[in-house]
Amino acid sequence: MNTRFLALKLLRMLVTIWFVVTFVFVVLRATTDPVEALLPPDATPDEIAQWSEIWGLDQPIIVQYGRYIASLTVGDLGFSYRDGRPVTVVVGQRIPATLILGGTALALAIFIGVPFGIIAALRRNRLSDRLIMAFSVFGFAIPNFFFGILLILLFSLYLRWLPSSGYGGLDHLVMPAATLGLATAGALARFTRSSMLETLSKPFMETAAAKGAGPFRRVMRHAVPNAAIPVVTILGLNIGALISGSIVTETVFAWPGVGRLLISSVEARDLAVVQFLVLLIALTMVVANLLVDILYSVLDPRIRVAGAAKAG
Amino acid sequence: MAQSLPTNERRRRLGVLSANRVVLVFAWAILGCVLFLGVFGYWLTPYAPTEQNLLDRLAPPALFGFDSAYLLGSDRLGRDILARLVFATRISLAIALAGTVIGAIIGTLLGFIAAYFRGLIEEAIMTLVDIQASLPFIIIALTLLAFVGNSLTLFIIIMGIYGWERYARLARGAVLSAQSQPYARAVRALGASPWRLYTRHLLPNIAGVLIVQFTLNYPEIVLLETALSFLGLGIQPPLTSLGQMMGDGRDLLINAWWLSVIPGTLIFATTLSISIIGDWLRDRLDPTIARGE
Repeated sequence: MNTRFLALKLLRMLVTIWFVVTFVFVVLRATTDPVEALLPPDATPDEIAQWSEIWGLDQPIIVQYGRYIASLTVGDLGFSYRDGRPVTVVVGQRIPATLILGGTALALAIFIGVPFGIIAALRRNRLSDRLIMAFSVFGFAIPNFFFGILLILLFSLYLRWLPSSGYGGLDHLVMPAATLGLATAGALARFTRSSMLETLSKPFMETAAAKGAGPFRRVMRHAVPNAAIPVVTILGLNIGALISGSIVTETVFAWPGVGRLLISSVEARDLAVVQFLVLLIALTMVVANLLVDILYSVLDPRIRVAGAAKAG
Repeated sequence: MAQSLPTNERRRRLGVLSANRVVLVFAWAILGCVLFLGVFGYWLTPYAPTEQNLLDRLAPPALFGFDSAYLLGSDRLGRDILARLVFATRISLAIALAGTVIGAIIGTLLGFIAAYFRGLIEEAIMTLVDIQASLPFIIIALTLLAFVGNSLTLFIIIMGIYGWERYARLARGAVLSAQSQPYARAVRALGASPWRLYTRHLLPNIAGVLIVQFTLNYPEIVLLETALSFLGLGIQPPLTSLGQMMGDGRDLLINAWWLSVIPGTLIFATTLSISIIGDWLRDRLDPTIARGE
């Protein structure tokens, strides 16, 4: 029954990817000549003829579509028209910077958001709860590009502690990671708090207290593991927010990652790069969602049973 | 809450309630100020938004105690920030409003269609809903901007595509649950057309939920528009938006912080106050959604 649950998720994932691929194909064919779009402007007529043949532009649209899918599966994605290199190389170079920034921001969000949420739940309606919730609302509501600019003003221009942009040492990473992680930290704090409050009101918490478990043991052994389950889902939903956030954050701090590449490619209408990035991000999203689904069912056996029951 | 609470506990709860009240009043006040700025703002400044004064570039804001002829300073072409702020606020709020309305109409309509036809059409619409919900919207927006090329029409359409899937889910769900209710069957039995049933009987019933969704979507669209304009991919000169003003000032942070900070503060104030009001509306109009506590 577990395989059936997994198979359904995989199918959904494939449908999403297929849809994105088709969306890109349709928009690209509907708006531009793909040869013009995907080859450098100084391409020779020979090259144009060669690629037209490879992409089969003289063929009916359905054959073109088939070939397009086939070329994607073998990694033939065209060339960046700005420097003529294959898009896989152009994008590949940018991936480490984005992973470093995204990973640090996510870790920061988890290590700040989750403990804050637990503290807020345990000290419900006290001053510390109010402060943490105010921080959460602030983190969630402030536009990340504005927060980034405020950080630059304070730490780079006024205090002169940190470099305002660029990539390199740890000092370059601090402000972009804080900017990117803030919204996720706020969301996590809020959801951890409500999840903890719900768990704390469950009968088994009273049982634990009646057994004579101390407050620390009650929280860490009984409340937190149960409260963690919905938090994992929220984490999955926040991967998308993190990706959108990194596009803006990387541009604010001139961080040489995938997000900034996407913006500059959209600006220059470097379509081959945009197409590859969109597919890559869609793939990342569905894989992340799948992982969260799997993690979720590992953490909570009830989901597996419910999923299988629905499927059967 | 049947048992009586200790006095200090009760007082604290009352205190909590009034604290939320204060926040709400503040939110309405800030929103009122923003709207006032957008509508009557030109009265506050003698300058027009396009009026350049190259001898008075990057003048600091008089409001913060600088000796200057401009209340909120001037930009790199010597244009009055206050006048530009009024212009930008109008554009940002109007575009977000257009986007929210378009999204609400498309989404509600598709939700009704899905619920009416069921079967394959419903499957197709709900698959689209799932896909849009599972991808970060800025990716869809950037793809369209790259492939089609930026124009104001496309930009407004993009704002309209944002968030339609939530209305579609709400509308479909509401129709499906209402169809089994006696009043819906009674209306059908009386010979009303499905169109009449949907628009005259179902729509008013789910209006509260849709309005709440509307107020929650609006600030998100303001943020999307300002973010894209900030990145230089949204509103283009000669028009301006709050995000575009911020992006414009980003390269001049060292010389003139006010170019970015003033529009940024306005964006933050607007989205925060509308979100707070939206949360409040949700509690008032939609008792089925539990508060996040």
